[in-house]
Amino acid sequence: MISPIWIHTTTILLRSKKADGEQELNLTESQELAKQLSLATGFDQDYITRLSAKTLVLKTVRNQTSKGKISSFYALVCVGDRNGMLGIGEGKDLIEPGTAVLKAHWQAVKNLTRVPRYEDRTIFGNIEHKYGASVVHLRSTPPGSGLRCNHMIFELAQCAGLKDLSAKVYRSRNKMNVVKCTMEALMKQKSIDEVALERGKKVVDLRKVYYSVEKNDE
Amino acid sequence: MSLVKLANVGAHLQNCAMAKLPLTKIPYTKLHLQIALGLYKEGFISSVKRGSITGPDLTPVEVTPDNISSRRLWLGMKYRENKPVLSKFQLISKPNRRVFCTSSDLRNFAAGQRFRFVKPLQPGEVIFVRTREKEVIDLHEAVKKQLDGELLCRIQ
Repeated sequence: MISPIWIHTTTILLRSKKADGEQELNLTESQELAKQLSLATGFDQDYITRLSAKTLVLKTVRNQTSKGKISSFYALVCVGDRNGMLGIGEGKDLIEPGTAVLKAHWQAVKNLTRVPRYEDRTIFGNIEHKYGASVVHLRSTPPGSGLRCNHMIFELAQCAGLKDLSAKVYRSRNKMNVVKCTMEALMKQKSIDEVALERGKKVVDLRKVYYSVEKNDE
Repeated sequence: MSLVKLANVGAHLQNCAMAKLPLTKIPYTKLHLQIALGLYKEGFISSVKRGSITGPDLTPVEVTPDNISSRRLWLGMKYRENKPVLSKFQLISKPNRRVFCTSSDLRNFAAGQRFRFVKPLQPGEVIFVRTREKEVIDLHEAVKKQLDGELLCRIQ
């Protein structure tokens, strides 16, 4: 499968050099950023540096004022540790798109939340969620299926650490709304342990009982 | 009995869950009682009490033809961490399209396969089946006893 060309991979806090013509972020600058973020959020500085970020949407937006059309840059960035934490953030800047991406990255790290995962690879059951005009159907798949979904959901799932997922987006496929819809849908999940606690039931791992096989993730 | 009334109960319970009500009353019928007891066994509701229109009975009151019209079933809703335990209650077999299953179909359905147009079983989902003896039991119980039945409703 060829990935869409328009997705810009801007992993902000990179240690290695970027291609010619692109802006390079100073190591000390990124370290300073990570330090400020760690103070603001409470996450470890090293952890923040090693988060994988993806710019999902980067576009110019216009505001009509008395002085005319004022255009600014809007960015939507998703950030994740590929191990269950995921966050999205939006940022806007008047002058530079890079600053908008930076602001979005900052917000995304501030909005990091845990995504419940079944066996650390897929979601619990099927989820249908509606956000505005976007309807997203997420389905859990057996191991080895991979991420067969919309490109926006693919990026979110990758950053979150989901390995097997099947999804379909109905009605509006507006990138921003699809991302927000998927975020809400992923948070809407209830893990099996949670359900058991709610209902006062005991959870039994059949694989362990019948085949004496421990769960992969624990 | 009446699936129309059951559909109304389903909608009512979903609304109560969204409104975070602690107690709610539903009409007192045999089917409703069977479903309510099933929900209680599965842990979706905290209590099932018979009562009148105003509230559950503190002392047991005999149901007679005189007071039958004012009899209601009072169910205690459950919530945990700002989320309701019983969030979805949907009919599968509807008054305009009934859904009946043989024991082998029920087995495949319980295993996770789709049954015709009925979407597959979800983790933590409970499905009530009405057997030929008009007994309302859980899907897995019906599979164990190898019974045929009508897929009444699915609860999450």
